[in-house]
Amino acid sequence: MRTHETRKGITLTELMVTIAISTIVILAVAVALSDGQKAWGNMYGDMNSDVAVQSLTACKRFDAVIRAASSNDCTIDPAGNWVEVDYYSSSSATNVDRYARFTWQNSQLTYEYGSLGPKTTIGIQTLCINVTACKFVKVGSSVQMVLTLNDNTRSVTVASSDVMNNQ
Amino acid sequence: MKTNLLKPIKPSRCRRGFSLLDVIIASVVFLTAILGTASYRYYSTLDERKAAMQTSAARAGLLLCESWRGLRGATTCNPTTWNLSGVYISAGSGPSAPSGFTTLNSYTLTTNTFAYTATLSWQNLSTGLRALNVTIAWPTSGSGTPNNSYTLTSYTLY
Repeated sequence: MRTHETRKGITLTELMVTIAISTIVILAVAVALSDGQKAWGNMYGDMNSDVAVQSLTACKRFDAVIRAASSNDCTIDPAGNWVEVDYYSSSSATNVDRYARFTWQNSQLTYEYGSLGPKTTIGIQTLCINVTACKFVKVGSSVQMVLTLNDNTRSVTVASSDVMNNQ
Repeated sequence: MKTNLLKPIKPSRCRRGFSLLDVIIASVVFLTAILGTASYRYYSTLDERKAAMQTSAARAGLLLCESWRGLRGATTCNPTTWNLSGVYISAGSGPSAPSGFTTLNSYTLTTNTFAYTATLSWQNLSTGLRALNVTIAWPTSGSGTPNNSYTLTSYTLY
């Protein structure tokens, strides 16, 4: 006489229900992870992408040079595509002994620098690529730079303004 | 002598599946994890946006402040004539100037898709020395009433 029925294994229905539930959970987790990864990538890119880093680097260089420049020796392109200044190489320098030129050309912002008397180029550096707009404006004894970089994934605009020395 | 031979054997109770309590506890743990993750993501994105707005505001304020200082604090300074590509400045309303400062004008400034309002003000500290103040404000949400602000003060001989 059988006293109780021993059921072993799982039925097809149980298996299908389990698979359906598991699929929903896995899809939900996958979407959440994918979305999270995308959000993280965007956030990281805003801080560390080439356009972000290059724009800040250009601003730092621009600030350092213009603040050491003499307002008596500043030449600016009427269209605002380049600016050239003579500047003091150090705080102990009594005369302007260096020159620097920032130029926006062919989607690049370049920085040329050298010594004066006689004028000799020491080096030319490319500060930024993917430059879609750059304009230099002289306002009184200050020089403004508004720089826009766009690498087709993100666009960054930075503005900088610095006052030159009055001597 | 009594025996249990005739007493029916009680079948052992075999428990299968989950109880309602198990399911509820599992659901609460799962939902807590989901809500925690969603909250973390929401606030990290929001904070990143706030940081970007603050950085952009600081640069915009510095642009106004330094340019005005380049004009030696002239009361004829008009940022709307600067014609900058990428930074759009127009006359408008702005935050109030600090106590003791004379308001020059207020402006609406847009850069990096963020909108700011700014007020330029000045105060003569002594003969030939002028303090220049730029107050720039913006709403955290991107629109509406500004609820954040920076105040930058610079000094110039005039």
